[in-house]
Amino acid sequence: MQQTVTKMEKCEAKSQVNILEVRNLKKYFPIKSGILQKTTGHIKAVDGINLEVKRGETLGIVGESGCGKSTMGRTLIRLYEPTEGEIIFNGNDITHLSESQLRKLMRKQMQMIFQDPFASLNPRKTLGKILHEPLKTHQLYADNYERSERVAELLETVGLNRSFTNRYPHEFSGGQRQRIGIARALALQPELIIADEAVSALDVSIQAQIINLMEDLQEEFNLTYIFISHDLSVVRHIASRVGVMYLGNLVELANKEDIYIEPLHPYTKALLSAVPMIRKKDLSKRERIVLRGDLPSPSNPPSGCVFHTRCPAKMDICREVIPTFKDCGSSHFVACHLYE
Amino acid sequence: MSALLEVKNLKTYFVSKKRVVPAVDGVDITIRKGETVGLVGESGCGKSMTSLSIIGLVPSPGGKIVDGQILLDGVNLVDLSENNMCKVRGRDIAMIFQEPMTSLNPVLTVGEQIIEVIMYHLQLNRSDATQKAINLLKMVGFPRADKIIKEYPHRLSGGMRQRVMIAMAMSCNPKLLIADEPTTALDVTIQAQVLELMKELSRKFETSILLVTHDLGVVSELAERVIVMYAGQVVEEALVDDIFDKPYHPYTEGLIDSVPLIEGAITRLNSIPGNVPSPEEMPKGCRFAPRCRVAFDRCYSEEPTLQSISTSRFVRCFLYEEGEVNGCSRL
Ligand SMILES: Nc1ncnc2c1ncn2[C@@H]1O[C@H](COP(=O)(O)OP(=O)(O)OP(=O)(O)O)[C@@H](O)[C@H]1O
Ligand SMILES: Nc1ncnc2c1ncn2[C@@H]1O[C@H](COP(=O)(O)OP(=O)(O)OP(=O)(O)O)[C@@H](O)[C@H]1O
Ligand SMILES: [Mg+2]
Ligand SMILES: [Mg+2]
Repeated sequence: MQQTVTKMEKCEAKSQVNILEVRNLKKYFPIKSGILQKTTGHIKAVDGINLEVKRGETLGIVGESGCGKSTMGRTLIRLYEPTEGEIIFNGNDITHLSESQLRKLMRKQMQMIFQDPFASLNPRKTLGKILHEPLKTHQLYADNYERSERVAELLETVGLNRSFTNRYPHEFSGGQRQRIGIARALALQPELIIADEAVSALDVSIQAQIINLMEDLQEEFNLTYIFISHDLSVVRHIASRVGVMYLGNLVELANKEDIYIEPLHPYTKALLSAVPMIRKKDLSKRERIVLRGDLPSPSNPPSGCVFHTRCPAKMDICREVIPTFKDCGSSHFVACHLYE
Repeated sequence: MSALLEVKNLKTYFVSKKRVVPAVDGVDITIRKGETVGLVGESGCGKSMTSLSIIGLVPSPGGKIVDGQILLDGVNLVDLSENNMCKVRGRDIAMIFQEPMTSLNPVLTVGEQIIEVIMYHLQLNRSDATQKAINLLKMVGFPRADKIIKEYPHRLSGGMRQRVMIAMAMSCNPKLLIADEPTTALDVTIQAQVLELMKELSRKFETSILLVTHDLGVVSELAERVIVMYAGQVVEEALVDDIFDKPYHPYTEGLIDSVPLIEGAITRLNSIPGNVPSPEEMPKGCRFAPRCRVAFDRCYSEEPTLQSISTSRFVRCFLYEEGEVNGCSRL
């Protein structure tokens, strides 16, 4: 009896720490062809992802170009309609909610930072206007004066000058524009921010400024981040847990230390070994695993384990049986027949 | 070893009615035969303009080499007619660009493009040129090269296109290969393939490589020597191990410390405050002074020159005047 109670409490505590739960999430894009634009197949950009995100953590998502990182981010924030699966945010199933319901339950709380903030900033609006708008849409603050105060405060938070409100996006440098993107994401005081390649286009010096800023903001506002990047060194720096994606699915998910020190999946090992290092002689000599071949097409994924066409440790079973994504102990998840 | 390429006091400016932009402002580069030299620096510091100047493709009108020499095996390329430069390009100097799609012709197959280059420069007939193209594509890692030559560029992935570009660049055994951000658009796994390939080619054919990139990891993998540019000028030059071990210029140090590492302790990143100055608002004195942690009075009034510290090491900073090396030790 005693035991059941603690178990139940545990269950409840668990759903409280999880800000986001994702079950079997799929996003397929139709391939249309012919004059009638008939659907002849699907690009399986995201193909059955299971994931839990704890409040206050930074979950890093890494993987090769085209593996579905951005599609996952955009589906989570409901910019894309999920094909299948469930998205549970703060205990609410938001998978099929209408836009007005979304506005009530998550539009404010979940925000996204895009890779190229320039493309997502209206060039004909001043910075002040850009930051004002979401506050107005969500009817925050009593009047325009208070909203202006909030805008000025936001600019200061991200290290921009208050006087910049009259400037247009093209008048800023890349690093400054990325700060604007962050200010806009912060405007509504979100709980969860999905950062999609937020620093990838920046020089290392500016990249470091932005990473430091994001870390400070996380501490100040107890933010949760899903940090999508193809740069494994950056993710190692900022994340507490890391998920590795390959062809629309997670192949490994674990605490940062486990991923970087003791990776299990052959793909993760290859990825890590391919990262160029500076000051090579101070660091351990790692054997480089050069993968042959390119990422297969997500419209026609390989049978069995989708990685088997490039895997250096391929076995017979890999061609036929899909490996399950399971916990190998201490929440280290991996989908690989080597560990079945 | 003798120098293959000597760039002396190169100045490439953009001149319009409104303003003059000194994109490259007095750059010296020496590359020996078979050597790989990395050219690094933040966006806008003049890396691409330096390489385009060397291969004679400065965007015009507007851009122009206003001063300096570019000596390839002793011949000053700046003086060559466009016609003669055309022959040098592709045969003696070849270039790989960041986005291969922009330099591959979308309406021609991969094979047609390589074969054309080979026929023009090596004066081979079509069937010999085709055979050579197939061999080249095999060399850059396409086992089914006879199929790939019939493909159009858009049907290939980014990594495949970049390998096609390398095959094309290597087709005439150039003495110098300029690679401008050759792997920036690629994933780490594909990047590793391309870097291995470039290493192998430079070893096998003694090709000299000028590797332009803002990725210090890539430089450390491939280059023997590094040249660091800031605001149109060289601020430091050193052997690759020396520079990552002990950078001299505060800018180089800032760059290296900004890089998150894949191993070792995780500490707060050091960032260089501020931004690269725009060429029309160049600060007085040292161009890096407004962002420098250790700048002193003199840095704001006088411009430092590139000082020689040893035969392989140069730095543009008042901390190291007259070969004084003890000025700064990991400040
Ligand atoms: N709107 C769309 N319509 C059709 N296909 C799409 C769409 N968006 C993405 N895809 C396809 O889905 C797959 C995953 O793309 P996605 O952009 O999510 O990858 P990614 O991991 O973010 O890659 P990158 O690192 O290059 O940003 C790719 O094959 C892509 O071509
Ligand atoms: N057509 C042009 N007209 C005027 N200025 C130009 C032109 N092209 C380049 N510039 C200027 O020349 C300077 C050097 O540019 P360059 O392209 O060489 O930089 P880079 O070091 O290659 O940067 P990146 O890392 O972003 O490629 C920049 O300040 C740029 O603004
Ligand atoms: Mg993406
Ligand atoms: Mg460039």
